[in-house]
Amino acid sequence: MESTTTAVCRLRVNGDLRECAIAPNSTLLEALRYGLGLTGSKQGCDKGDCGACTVVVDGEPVLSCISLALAFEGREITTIEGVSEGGKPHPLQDAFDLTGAAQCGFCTPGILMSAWALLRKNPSPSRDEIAQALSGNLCRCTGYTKIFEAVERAAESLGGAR
Amino acid sequence: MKRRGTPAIPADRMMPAEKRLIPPAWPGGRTAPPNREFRVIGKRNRKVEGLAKVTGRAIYADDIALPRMLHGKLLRSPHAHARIRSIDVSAARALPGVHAILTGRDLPEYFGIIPWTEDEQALCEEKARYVGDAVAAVAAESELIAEEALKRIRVEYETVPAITSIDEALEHPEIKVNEKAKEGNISKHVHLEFGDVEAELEKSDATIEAEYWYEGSTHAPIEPHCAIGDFDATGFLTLYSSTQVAHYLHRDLAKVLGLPTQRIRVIQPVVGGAFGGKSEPFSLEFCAAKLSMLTGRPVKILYTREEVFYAHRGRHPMRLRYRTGIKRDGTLTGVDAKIHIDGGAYSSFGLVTTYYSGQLLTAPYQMKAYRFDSTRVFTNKPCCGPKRGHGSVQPRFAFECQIDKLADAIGMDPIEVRRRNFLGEHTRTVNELRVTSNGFPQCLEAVERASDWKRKFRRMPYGHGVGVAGSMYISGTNYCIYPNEMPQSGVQLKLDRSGRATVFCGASDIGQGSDSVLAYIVAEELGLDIGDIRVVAADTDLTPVDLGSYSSRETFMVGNACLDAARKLRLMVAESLAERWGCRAEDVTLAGGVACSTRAPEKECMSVQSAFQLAEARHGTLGSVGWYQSPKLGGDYRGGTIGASPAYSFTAHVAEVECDPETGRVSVRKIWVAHDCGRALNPVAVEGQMEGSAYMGFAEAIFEEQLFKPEAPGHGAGLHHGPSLLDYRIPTSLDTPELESIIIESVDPEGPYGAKEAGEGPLHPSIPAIANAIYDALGVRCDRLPFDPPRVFRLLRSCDARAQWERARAHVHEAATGAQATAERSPSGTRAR
Amino acid sequence: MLTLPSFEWARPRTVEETLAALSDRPGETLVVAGGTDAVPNLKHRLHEPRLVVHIGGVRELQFVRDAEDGLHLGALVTLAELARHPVVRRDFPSLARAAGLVAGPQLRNMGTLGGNLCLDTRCTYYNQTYFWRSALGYCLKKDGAAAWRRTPRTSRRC
Repeated sequence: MESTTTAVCRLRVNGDLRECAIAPNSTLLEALRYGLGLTGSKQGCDKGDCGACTVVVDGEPVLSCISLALAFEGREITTIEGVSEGGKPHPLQDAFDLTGAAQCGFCTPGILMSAWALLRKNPSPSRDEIAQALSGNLCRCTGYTKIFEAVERAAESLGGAR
Repeated sequence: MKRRGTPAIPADRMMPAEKRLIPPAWPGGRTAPPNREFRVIGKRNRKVEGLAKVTGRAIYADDIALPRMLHGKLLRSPHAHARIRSIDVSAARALPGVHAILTGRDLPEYFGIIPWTEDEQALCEEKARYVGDAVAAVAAESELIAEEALKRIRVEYETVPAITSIDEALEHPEIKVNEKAKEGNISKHVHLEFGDVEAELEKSDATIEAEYWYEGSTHAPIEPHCAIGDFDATGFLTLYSSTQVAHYLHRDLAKVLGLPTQRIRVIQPVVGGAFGGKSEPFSLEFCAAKLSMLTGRPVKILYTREEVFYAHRGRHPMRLRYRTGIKRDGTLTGVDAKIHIDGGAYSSFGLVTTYYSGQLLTAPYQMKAYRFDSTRVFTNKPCCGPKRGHGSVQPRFAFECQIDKLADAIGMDPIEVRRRNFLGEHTRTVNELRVTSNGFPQCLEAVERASDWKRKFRRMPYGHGVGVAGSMYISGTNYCIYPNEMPQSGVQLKLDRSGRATVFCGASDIGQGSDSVLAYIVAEELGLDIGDIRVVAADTDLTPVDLGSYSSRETFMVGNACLDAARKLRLMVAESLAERWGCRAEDVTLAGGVACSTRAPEKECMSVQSAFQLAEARHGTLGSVGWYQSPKLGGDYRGGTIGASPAYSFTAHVAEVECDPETGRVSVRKIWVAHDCGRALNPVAVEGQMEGSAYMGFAEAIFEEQLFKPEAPGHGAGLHHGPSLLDYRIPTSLDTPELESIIIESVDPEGPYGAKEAGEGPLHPSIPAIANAIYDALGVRCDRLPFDPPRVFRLLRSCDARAQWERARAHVHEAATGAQATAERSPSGTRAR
Repeated sequence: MLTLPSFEWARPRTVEETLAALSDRPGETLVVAGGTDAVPNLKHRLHEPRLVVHIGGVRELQFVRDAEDGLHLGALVTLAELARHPVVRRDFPSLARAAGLVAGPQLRNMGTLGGNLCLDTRCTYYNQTYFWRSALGYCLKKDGAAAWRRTPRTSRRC
């Protein structure tokens, strides 16, 4: 049943070079969650519809649940676990907590990764740009209002206020 | 030891005759701050688990991996209605890596969340009742092997005609969907009448009779259901599950597995959204547990998104016919409702749903006379159940549209009509619900002002409109689901010399913040920092029983239990300090980490940690228990307790829409939400509930419908239209309107510090407010959900919408200038008297 | 979660290597670039290849070249790149806009132009799980004998 060519692969995740055995039919999400124990990225829809599995690869948010893990050797992968700096929450994470942008929290890591990638490219996004950037991430709890506020608040504290 | 048979108390008689526990009364009641002013309560505090969630450290069920863990998968029926003739698992069993297989015979015991309607099995034994009904389960070394094994299980089905609509269910009692139904396909029938409806309707100057249709919708939490069973060598079962009712799950596990409850531990990890969709036991929990019992290894079952759609328990499709009247002065007269409810294959909470469809409509407006006749039927579709605003969202949609039509008929502003019919506070409804605080008029006023209603209503150009609606909802039910006289919520509080407090409670935090409510209350009463408190929740081994996260009960009931526990400890600490300082206990303040007397705070003061040590030295090890039991409530008639709640929340919405008359596309620009939550223990969390509710109501109004395919060559009726988040569309960040929340605080005498619910009430008015706004914009009445472009387009084509729109404007402007409203001019569907 | 079937894996670096990999097992091979369509289809068991050829690393196919005879686009240009590329935006604004309107941001970051043009069928009767399709009685396009149409009254084509 197991795939015939499981390979030892080096994945660069959150700055660490992690070596792990990956089967060709393993998604990046499975490799991260079950192989490397990085359970912060979530699985919500199985097939790229909800965005809960979003991780950032070479600066761009991608859906790890429909990505084949072996294809990511040599790429720079950032997950929610890699966003905190020096053990302190990133201003974006802090803003999400302060504004109540995380309710059940299940979509939150994916949304944070999309927002994190946005702020690195655009430090002072408009409300519309935020909504566009997060349009591939479904949230079922908040109605998005507090998420928008949190991203704006983070942009402000990072010095990118409009 | 197995418990079999139905409970001794007859059906529908939820009220035990015995006298109930009465929670201890505290001097000054429950609403006052312990130290003259609030220091934690009412502040925009962080949630206790917030940072864990935003840093990816929060552990959800699927994040748990136990050593030697196997993976389970369920085989599901491809037929909507089929007898199971035989199941051959031999080929699957022979597959390397497969460790155990279950079929219906292995778990024959029936279960059901309501003890009077236990009509489900973990795996179908005789018959499958919807496409996706589970018939077998496999545990294997990987999900892939388990899937391969499922393909090798041979099930011989004998298909039976499928019943997939309300009318088919009623017309074909001989085709029984669920054999536990007493009569045909009737799941539950309720007929209740209060006052003389016909006599009241006779007094009307205008009556409206109309039929409404709510197509079902589902919760779609982003986290799929997941459970891990772990049966150990001592015969002890631990089950981790993404449930919102750990206590009820605990009981049903014992019943179905034949294990004593004291040998089962249910742990709820962090839950990734539920909305009512995880409020009863599901096949995966029983199967993960049983497979673990057979293999002696932990077994995880994680539903695919498709399976979440089959597990469902979402909002019922309902057909609602209302006849309501109004007098020229705006007074509502009689209300007559006939409701049919499509329940799907099993009962779930259906008994309650059927009552709620009528019982929860009687506030915030005064009703002179009210009658409802509700029938829930079984159909061959995934079972419906409680979704946020259980049972009352559909009738509220219909009724608030009725009010809008009545207001139109007499040419009165619909906000004014709602105001004139205000029920009042500290009163009773026509069906004998006790209402305490009621901030509905303030809610109406707030949305009227914030939305600039007076300048917009019937005054905007064609295609633009505003609409209003109101609602009420319960803050918990006054009885447990199974009859007993024990508290509905319990809290244990541990305090020690370290200065740290731990709160133990069975409450289920599903993102709404019940863990945080516990911490805020303890922090307020004992003068601690929120970070000095640990909350241990929803672990049946460690925490006293709380019934779980349903019917908007957590803040109110858990909050009251926690307040009780915290005040008991506070008193012990205060007495120790009073003795030391020679003052009265009520002159002791515990706040901000400092204990002091009010008369000489500079001299008579110490850290709360030292105060706890003093108290520990005087009283011994510190701990307390608190509990809550609601007072005996409800009308003295069959079903009179269903809908009775110790407090009700009230909401008003104004929605503004922009519609395209060419395509029928409706864009909701903004929703103003004013909600009376009693007291906001944390305004951020309350706003979050209001915004999330308004969003979900908006989604149901414009986007969502749980549809099933009719019969076609190749398959029977009842196949889900598209069980994925691609085909079942939920709004994205680009679809969702601007949401503005306005908190109204009525301070309820029975709530913890005056708090009431906020999680479900604010969903209700979204749908009718949008429907009424569409009428203001286009002149068409949307009586069927959702208001998607094809439906609105058809409505626009079916009448002279523009003429109706002009008439509605003329009517209100006429009335505003003092002209007599004439019934002849009312729009179609209105019968004038 | 939905699993992927077992398959072998090749990751060519050049077009030549790609062609060699593809001719190795004709009829049993699936080309994957961004994977936004192919991977869900694998999860749905619409494809069960022996070999998956991942061409994401073929540099030769990653280019946007503005030349005399027009704009040349490599098959591996992502939809996001297409949407934001200054030359595409200037000279072919409708193409940029169309690319920017496909799905959501993550899918546009992953999905390629080649994949988009060579997309397999998109249909609510087809892009479903194996179980759902079995309950449907399967479609002609995969495992079945009859065709399903989403709008039988208005559309003549599947």
